[in-house]
Amino acid sequence: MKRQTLQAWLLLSPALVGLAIFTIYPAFQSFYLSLHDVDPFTAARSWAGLANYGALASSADYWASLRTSLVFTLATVVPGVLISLGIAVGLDQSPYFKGFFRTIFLLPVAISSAMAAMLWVFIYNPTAGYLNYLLSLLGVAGPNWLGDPTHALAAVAIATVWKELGFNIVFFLAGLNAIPGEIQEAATMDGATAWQRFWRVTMPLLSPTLFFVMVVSVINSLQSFGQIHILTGGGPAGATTTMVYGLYLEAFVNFRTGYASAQAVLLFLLIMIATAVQFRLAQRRVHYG
Amino acid sequence: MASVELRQVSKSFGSSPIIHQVDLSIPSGQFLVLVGPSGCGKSTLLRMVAGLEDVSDGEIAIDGRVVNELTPKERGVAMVFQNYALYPHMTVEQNLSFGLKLAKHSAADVAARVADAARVLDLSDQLQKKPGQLSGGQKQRVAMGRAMVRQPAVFLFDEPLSNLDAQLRVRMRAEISLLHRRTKATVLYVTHDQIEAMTLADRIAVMRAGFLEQVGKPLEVYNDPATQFVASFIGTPPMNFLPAAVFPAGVVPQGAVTVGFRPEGTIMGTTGQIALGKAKVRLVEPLGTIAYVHLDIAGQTVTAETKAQVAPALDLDLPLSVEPTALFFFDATGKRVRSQA
Amino acid sequence: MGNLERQARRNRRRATLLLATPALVQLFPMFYLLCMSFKIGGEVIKYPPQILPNAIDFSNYATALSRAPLWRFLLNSLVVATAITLLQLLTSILAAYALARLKFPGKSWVLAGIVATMMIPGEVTIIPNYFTIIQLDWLNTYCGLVSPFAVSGFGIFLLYQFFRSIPAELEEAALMDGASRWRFLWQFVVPLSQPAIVAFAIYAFVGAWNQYLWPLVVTQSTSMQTAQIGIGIFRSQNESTSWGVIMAATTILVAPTLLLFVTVQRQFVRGITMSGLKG
Repeated sequence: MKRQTLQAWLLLSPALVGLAIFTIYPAFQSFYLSLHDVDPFTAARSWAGLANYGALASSADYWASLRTSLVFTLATVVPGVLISLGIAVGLDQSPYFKGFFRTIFLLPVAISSAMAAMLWVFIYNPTAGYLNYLLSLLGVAGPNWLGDPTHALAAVAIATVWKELGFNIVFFLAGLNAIPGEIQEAATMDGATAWQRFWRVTMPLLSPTLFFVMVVSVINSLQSFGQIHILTGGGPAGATTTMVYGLYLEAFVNFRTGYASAQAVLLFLLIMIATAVQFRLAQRRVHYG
Repeated sequence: MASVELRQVSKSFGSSPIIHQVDLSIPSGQFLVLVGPSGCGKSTLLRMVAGLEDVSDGEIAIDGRVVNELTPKERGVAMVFQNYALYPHMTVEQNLSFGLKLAKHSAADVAARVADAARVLDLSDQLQKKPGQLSGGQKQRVAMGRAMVRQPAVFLFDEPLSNLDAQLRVRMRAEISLLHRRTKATVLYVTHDQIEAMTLADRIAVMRAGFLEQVGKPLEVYNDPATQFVASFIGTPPMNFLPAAVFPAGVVPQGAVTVGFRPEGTIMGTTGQIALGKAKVRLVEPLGTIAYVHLDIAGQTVTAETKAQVAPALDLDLPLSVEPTALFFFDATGKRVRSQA
Repeated sequence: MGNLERQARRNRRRATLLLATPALVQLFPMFYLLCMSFKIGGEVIKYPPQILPNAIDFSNYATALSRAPLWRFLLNSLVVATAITLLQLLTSILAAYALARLKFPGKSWVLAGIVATMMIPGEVTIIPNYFTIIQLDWLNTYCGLVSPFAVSGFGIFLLYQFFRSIPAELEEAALMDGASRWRFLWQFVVPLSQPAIVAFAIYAFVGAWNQYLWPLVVTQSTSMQTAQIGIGIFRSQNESTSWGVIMAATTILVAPTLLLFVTVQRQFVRGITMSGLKG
């Protein structure tokens, strides 16, 4: 038995060392740093207790970034989930060119959020961009999407939804496939119309997947960075500065390490709660099959 | 209760024909079992009666009314699925009442029917449970209950017992039989298990490769098979077959190439009128009071039934014989050739 | 043709029509990107904007390549993504095998601990990791880009599930035949888990390739930038005549993962589905 123990620890050591250095230690270190004041130039640390957290609580900018994060999350998750659900249901009807459609919807999954943003930068151009041109055809004057504080967040949200659709569709298709065809037939025998079958049988059986996708989307949304950096750089006037983006600015632009670490800890708590919820839902989802 | 009539019903998937001009008539209240090997088309035929598959050609009539274009609900049929197909997110009670509520029955009516079915099927204690919490037999009963509460004109069963273990299957067979006698329902029951067919059916329809080979009462089909396939399919252990050449001249009628005889008609010894020759005992299977003896003769294996006490030893060479009345003759196409005598 | 078939066909037709518009919207930005990359000079800001280019002209691509070391960016991304994928695979296979097959005290704690690390988001580790990399003098190096991601708790967990499903009798038989555990791992367990390993590898590779925040803070010189960061050079070029060039640069940098996706779509999708299991 002792030999197995030795073998086991040997096999585990690379992974454990890596995790210890780059995941576990930093998690604690972030918390430690958040309790200190770190000089941006000398990196000297002095104990600050909960001062950083206090400063965050009274920072209008921080609350603004929290609000921006929540609005952004809502604006990406709700349309994203609904649209991808609709598309998944559509694909489940076995349309013509199904494989072709699937590939198209899934393609953006392969590119990064930064690249996706690059695609949309010029579409959003106020004078020569295609979006405003289309709007002008409908008689609507399109705004300066990326330069106008009231529209910038919407612009980033639209690009994000566009990119994330494929990801959600994959899960919804898997969920729909898991519903046995016999149950639909039993509902038909019971006299249900297609509409009734969808709402009374399909949707309830899909609901675990639905909740699961929602939570995953929320977690992804809270962590969005690349597209914000490319499209708006957090502006204009902080209109698209989410919690993550604010953290980046404080840590790597302003070098206020202690303050940024406090932000990181708070963000961690928020995401951890969302992740724990997701874990529980994932278990339930697997059970349902 | 309603009668079911299939007139020249055919089905093709694309260009491949699956079912060929089937004529079948089920009078009201009869329990008809459609039996055949996997892939013979029996489930497809059932689904066409249910309204889950289109009819490529021919007519299906329920109570005289042609139903080809009608939805399952409009036909007044209910189906019990092989894998139960219960709604996993609904309680037993909701499963039972789903169809009724869709049809806008009054709450009182729904409650009454559900309670009645639950009582008959011994499900009254399970009403608030979800299918995931039920055993296989209970799930099967819920599936039957779901069909029952709709009080349909015709019950359709699609291999309902194949997912149950042997003991449970025997019990459920009895329950289904009881149910049929109680409700006097018209039943179309599909299975690949010929024992189920023999024990449950008022009439059996044997199907092979999309063709109906024979329809008749169980004992009729057993004692008077119309084709070699029916003869081999119905009966356990299956009928023995030997080429006509093994038999002495004059026994086998003109045109017959194969002769069949059942294990219970196979005599070890010379008592039978027609001698078949020497056979070697290969395997003896004792089954309590009787035993099945497998012997090699003329390059084939035949099975003889005998009382357990007089079962022979292995490797023994025994003469086999049969009575002429125990013989069934079949021509080269498998059709039964009836002796003139 | 019967009622049901007619209805089925109607459903298919209706679904096809309803999906057409979203598919168009989904495809448009990528198609537009390609078209723009072929437009030279002022053609790009023509008003009203026209989708298709006048001709398929690759001069923007040449310009893009001369303005920034695109091949170097792609190479960096390739090196980093490959290194991360291989390291994750290696550490995951070894750790998962130990957890799935070997008995040792404290096993359940180790497993729980690893699963717990799956819940730690990147934001909370990035600042200290940054300092660690500085202390190791790995800033602006491949080591710095790769090391924090060399181990993946998700990979360990995923392969652990798969390895567990391999029957213990198989290993016992191999051991009786004289094979060492090590040999059993590489000659039996790994080949048998191929679908999971391939799907995870693709998932890890694409994830590493598409990373943004970490490469952003760790790279300081252009020569070390990955494709994701390198594109930022073009983002700041706002003169309208550069747009075609910018789009050409983007096309070059986006092409690898898109092509990978189109070729191994099924494993890609499987990788996504598996990622649903992680925290």
